[in-house]
Amino acid sequence: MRNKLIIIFSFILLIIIGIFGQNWVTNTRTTQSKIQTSHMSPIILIPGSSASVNRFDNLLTKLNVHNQHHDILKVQVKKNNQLVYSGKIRSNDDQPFIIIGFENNADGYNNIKKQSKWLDIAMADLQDRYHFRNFQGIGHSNGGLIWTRYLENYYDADNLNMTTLMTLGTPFNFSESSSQRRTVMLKDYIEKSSNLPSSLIMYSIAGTEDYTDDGIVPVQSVLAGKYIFQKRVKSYTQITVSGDDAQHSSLPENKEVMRLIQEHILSQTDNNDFRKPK
Amino acid sequence: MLTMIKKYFSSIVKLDNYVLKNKIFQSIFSAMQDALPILAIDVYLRLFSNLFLTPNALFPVIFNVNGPIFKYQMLIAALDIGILMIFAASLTKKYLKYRGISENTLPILTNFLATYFLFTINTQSFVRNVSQYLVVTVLTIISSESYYQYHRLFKKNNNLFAVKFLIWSGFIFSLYFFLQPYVQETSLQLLISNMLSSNFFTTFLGLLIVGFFSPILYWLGLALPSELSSNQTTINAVVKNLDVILKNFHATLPYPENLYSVYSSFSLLGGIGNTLAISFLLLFMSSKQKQHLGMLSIIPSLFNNNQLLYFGLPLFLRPLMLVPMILSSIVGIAVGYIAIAIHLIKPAALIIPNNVPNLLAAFLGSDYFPSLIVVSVVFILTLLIYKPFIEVDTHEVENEK
Repeated sequence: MRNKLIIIFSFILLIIIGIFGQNWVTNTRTTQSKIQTSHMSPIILIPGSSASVNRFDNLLTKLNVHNQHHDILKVQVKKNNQLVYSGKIRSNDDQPFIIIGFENNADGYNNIKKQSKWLDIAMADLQDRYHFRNFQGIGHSNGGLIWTRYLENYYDADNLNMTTLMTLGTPFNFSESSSQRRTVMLKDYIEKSSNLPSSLIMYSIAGTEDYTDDGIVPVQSVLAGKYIFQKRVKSYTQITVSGDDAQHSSLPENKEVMRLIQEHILSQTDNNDFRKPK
Repeated sequence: MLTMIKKYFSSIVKLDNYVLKNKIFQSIFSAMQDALPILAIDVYLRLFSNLFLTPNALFPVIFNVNGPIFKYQMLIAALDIGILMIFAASLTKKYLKYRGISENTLPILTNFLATYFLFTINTQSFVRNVSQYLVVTVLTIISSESYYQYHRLFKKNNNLFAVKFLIWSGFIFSLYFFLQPYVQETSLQLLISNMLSSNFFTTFLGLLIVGFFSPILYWLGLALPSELSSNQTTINAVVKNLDVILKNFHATLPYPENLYSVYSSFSLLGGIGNTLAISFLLLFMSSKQKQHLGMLSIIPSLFNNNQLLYFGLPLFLRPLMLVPMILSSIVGIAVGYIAIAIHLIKPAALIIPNNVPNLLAAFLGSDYFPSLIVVSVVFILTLLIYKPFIEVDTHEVENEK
């Protein structure tokens, strides 16, 4: 009797798993198909510490004047992992701008660790909503550190494909002006640099006011990014800009930086190669 | 033809009887029985974890609920090693008893601890594949035999922990310490894993070879790569199929027959050797002991874990079990391959939830209901293959009584 009961129980269990499993497979297939065939390749921007999701308003307004108009979506990640969206994306916009900001936007390595985790939550939700696979990233100041930690610890190359990353005045060695004195964060980043996507094209942009720093971040700290990215990603390019708007906080509005974004990030809409999955 | 089959069958039974009467094998099988309770805890804890508690647990995933996540992989990994330690201790006791030695506390303790060190020293990852039953069996028997020979030299000594015996113990620890890098070496698994990524294993011959050798390697107690036991989704052919099908569900797949669509879907029903049929048959055997084993093992077997049968029946090194394991595995491959090749069913190419019973893999992976009928045919064939062997085994147990 007991053996018959156990067989009936197994049979019922199989039917339940079969029905709900099929439902899961169908939903997963639909979502993955949309991701696989998606033409959307958003440009995702992360502001530096203390800045809000409005940090790039000037830059995006100027970029939208010079180029075809792209939609702007802002996402704020609350401390409790909740996401607050503002703005919208048209379904036919292949390269919208998405700005991800954090309620806790404080400076410091511990906060960067938390912000990277929140970035992962936001990325998963954005992919669920918009079904993109390819994207490009821009990070101003600590925003570049958040991207780097995300790529080394959370990024899943099976689901996403970050084609280009551009960091603006990102202090890879915090405020250390000597590359000989490596901070804990830089050591951690170097240690896990093998996790960086090998197909990534990386541009690190430094600003100089007086040959040594951009007013806040030492140039040497920005240059320390080479220890993390060089030989780990497809290409690593270091660019230094100077002039009137080369001060750390003005970098996103710097004309040269805007030109670099237009040239290396926005122009990719015309190049279909980057859409190919790895 | 029938006479020839009967003749072969009778030879296998004779060989199995010979093995069962051999004192060394008796010690091994009896030690496996002793490890069964801790193994049952390990198997059910792992099952519960895979179904409810891990981040990709089956039921929270398919019901789309966020259940509590408990990470007790370390505990399960510790239990895995605990099973081997208890097996080694019990095997030492049984072997020395057969050798006529009753003062066995020191060798039992030595082999118990040395087995622990064998899998834990100098390893950064505690969570690893430790199913190296052959290695533990051989080392424990060598160690026990060496104790027996050493003990004979000092017949008049009554102190179990005399320095001379501690020296033996130290020698065994040194031997295990010397061997541990080789035991922890995963190059065989990596080699098999690399070989399986070749497109040769998308051909009928390649799949037949896998169907033939995987039960043998498993039966021998060797640690196998995950491609042979659970996860084939990282193999190139499977990835390429998925890429194609996600772009167009009705597109022709580049590799319709592969380890995922054939081997996993039709040859791993209940684990390596299509052993779900064994659990099912045991439920209807006259021996109460066998019935209990059937009831204990059927739910884990349903979710592709046949370890309880491996220890309880046992499958490990039993000549009687090797032949039906190979036959069932090959039959699964042949039926699955032909059904796909003649377009009777669609090949499994889609991603399915983790830990789904392999009985449903062909259906879920292809989203094509008729696959279930082919799986049922394979299951019935495996029942027919295993039936005479399980009946003989039950008969042998009853005769033993």
